[in-house]
Amino acid sequence: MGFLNLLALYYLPIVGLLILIYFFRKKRKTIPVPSFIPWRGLKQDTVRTRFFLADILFFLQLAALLLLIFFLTHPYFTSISKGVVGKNIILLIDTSASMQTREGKSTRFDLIKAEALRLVEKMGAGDSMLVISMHSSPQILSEFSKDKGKLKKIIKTLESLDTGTSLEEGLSLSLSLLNSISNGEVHVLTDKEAPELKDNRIRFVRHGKASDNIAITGLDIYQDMFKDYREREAYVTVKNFSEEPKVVLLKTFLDKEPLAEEAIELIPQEQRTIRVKGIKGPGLLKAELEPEDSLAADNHAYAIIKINKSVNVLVVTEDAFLQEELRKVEKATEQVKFTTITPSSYTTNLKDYDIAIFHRFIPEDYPRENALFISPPMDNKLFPIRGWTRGVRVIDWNNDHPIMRHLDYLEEIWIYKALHLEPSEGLKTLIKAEAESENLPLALAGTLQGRRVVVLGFDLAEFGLSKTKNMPILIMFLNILQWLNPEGVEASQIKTGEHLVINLYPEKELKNLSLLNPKGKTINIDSTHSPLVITDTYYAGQYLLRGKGFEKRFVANLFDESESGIKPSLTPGKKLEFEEAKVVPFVKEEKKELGKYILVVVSLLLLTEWILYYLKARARVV
Amino acid sequence: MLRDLFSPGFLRRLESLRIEVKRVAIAARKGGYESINKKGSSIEFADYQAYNPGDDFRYIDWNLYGRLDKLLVKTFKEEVELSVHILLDASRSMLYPEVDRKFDFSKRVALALAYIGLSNHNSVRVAAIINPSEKGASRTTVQTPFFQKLSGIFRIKDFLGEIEPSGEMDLVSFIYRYIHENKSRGGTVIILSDFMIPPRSYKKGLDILRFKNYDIKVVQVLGSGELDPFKNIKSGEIVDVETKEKKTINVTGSLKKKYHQLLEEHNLALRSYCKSNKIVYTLARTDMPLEDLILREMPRIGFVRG
Repeated sequence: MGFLNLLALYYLPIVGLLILIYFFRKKRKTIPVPSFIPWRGLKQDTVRTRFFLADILFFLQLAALLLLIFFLTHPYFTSISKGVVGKNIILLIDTSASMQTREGKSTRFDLIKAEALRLVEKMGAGDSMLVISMHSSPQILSEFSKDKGKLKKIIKTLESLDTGTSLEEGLSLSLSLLNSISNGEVHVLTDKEAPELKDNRIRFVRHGKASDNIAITGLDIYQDMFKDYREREAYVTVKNFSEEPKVVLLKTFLDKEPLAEEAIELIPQEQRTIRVKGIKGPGLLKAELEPEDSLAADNHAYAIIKINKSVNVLVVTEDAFLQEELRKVEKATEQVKFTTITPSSYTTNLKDYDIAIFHRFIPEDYPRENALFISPPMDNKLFPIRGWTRGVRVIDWNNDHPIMRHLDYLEEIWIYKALHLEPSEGLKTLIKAEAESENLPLALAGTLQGRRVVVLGFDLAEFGLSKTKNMPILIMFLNILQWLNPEGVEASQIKTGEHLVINLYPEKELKNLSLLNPKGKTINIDSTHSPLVITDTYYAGQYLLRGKGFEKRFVANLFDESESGIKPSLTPGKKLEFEEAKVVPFVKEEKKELGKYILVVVSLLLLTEWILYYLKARARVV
Repeated sequence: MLRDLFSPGFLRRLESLRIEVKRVAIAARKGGYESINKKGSSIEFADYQAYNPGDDFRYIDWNLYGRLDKLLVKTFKEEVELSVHILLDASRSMLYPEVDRKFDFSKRVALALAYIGLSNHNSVRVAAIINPSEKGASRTTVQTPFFQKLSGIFRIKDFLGEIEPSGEMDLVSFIYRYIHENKSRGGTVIILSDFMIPPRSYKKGLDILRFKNYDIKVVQVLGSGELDPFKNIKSGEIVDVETKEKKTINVTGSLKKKYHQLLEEHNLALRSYCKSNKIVYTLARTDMPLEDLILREMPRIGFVRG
């Protein structure tokens, strides 16, 4: 028997404290009585006449205290245990799109599944295994288990998805797990090339010989709210990943109706982009390659042609010049409809608009629409304003923001005066300006209360939007409308495995949501607040998000050249040996701490002490 | 003024009471008078008695001797003075338990009885039963003179106010001293005490009075704090305030039961002794209204009469 913490013996003087408490407890109360006559015949409490009484309660308390101190010393018994040391195997299985590559009569995924099952079969008596699936992100499918049946069942139910491979993430996860276990080793079943790893506990098992693949690597649609369907453009990018020249037939369909067919001849590694013509309306655009090759997952791509819907914009202003300029914009764009009211007639009960523009005015209640605030009043509660500044010169702007797209020569715009806005939470600076030797944000954009918002420190009413010199301002204004348009807010095309974020409001739309995936499977989505994040996007094709009174659709495409490049690496793979587990007997000295047993005994002692005290207390009449 | 102690109504009702006299008491001087069948010297004839040596020859009825050939002496109803001796226990035990305020209650009873006595032209004296060995006791007995007039009540009141209870009660030696100092003047002796003394002590003291033909009345003053002391006592060391005797107790159900039993036995012994010796006994609980004690309880048991 040993002690891990002998310093705890320093607590022993506490016993003295207990004894001291008993001295105080025995201090007797003096009660004067007129006569001893009725008392003389009574039995003297001999116990309490002693100066210090070590009664049973005292001994129980003393024993509990000593045991607690004993507990703090962490006493332990050493024992010798014998057994068999097993391995802890981490099995990383690649379930990405490239694993769908046909290799003869089977697929690469079939091969590695068989390999995985063989590994499970070879597991020794002391071995345990943990299975991780690698697709767009690594996913642990089981804890370390010695149950071969359970492990096999997990492996058999695996399927390869239309996503890329998270090989690096999977390896990082495995290394992290390795550090927390003993006798660990990692087996990676993939068709990807093994990175340079110094850790010899990681073994790659690679499968794949086929290289015959032509893929659609991109399908881009250029459609904004100001373009008519005829003006919309779709481009399909096709690449030959084979080692030989190939001729393929590219077919395009709009809602299953054929749009065009084009034969394309590509030399190895050649990539070509083809424009799709004839888009006459909204719908699901599908591009398809024929004939089929080794990997079918990248032979088709999808895009959504959005409905050309006019955007209703509410303008709250009293400025006649601004109204006049907006009428010109409306006439020029056709898809944008401005409705102008004065601030005094504004209420939140107005019919639903797509966008609201507030000019020199901020409503009491935050609007339900995405909104543009132009020159908000100084004393507003939403946007902190330091004051007016004059002689403002644009010095920089955020090119990455969609609002600032296609904008050049902004620095040439002369702004006579502007509000000195202050960036606040949720709002980022779009345009940075200089005035009176001080930098200030001239325009802010971001999200407030779940709505997109843009704030302009300068007054649009001071610009003739139809004038050539103010063209950058007009473009920015149109970009703002486009960015604020709820239809344009959500992406409709993502890569497989990516998360799609959808703002839903009012949030009652969150109830009873379901997602129909390209495999025809409906997934119920349980979400309590907007924005809604959809993660289950593992298959290429069209997804339908359905809720109460609405339906949104989006598409997911592979578009991953590392997946489409199915040709095996030229670098030779490491020797793919799996050592069958050997039974290694071990003799181990184990320290078994007595702490929990001591605590049980202390609890029992205290319980006994309490019961005795209770019985004593009950015997007395207070 | 008495009105700070007793209400006018109560005083009026006290005036209507008389202290009950059970038997003949010897009196040596005139004062308040009671008609007693005794070989008295008044002119009111009472009875005849056989002559005993020592009888006054003057009261021999010679006519009857001639007829009956017997020496008979005439007895007359003698009007004798009733002296009331109110003996108040002033030992330290009367101060405890403090909550009972036994001594204060006893003083009020003593004053009320003195008022009754004086209202009926009795000679009334109040004496404090003290232990002369106690420090500060300058006299062997502390007492008032006899008062016959009602105005004496104020001096009695002042006297009672000056008494400071102390020491241990020694009833026997007090009675000896008291009788000696009072030249065996008879009358009614009212003893106000908690009687928390051994039975042999009070028996001996009361026997002396009995033998001296005093009419004895006993008022045992006790309070609820003494009758049931366990409301405030759980455990501790009890100390006799007179003897300083100590004992550690731990209050249990059985201890309480035993205490009540012992106290009851003690009180019962006192009551039995009084009853068997024709001594009027009353228990005065300090938690009962004084009016109830004087106006209801005492008349009921024949302590006083209307």
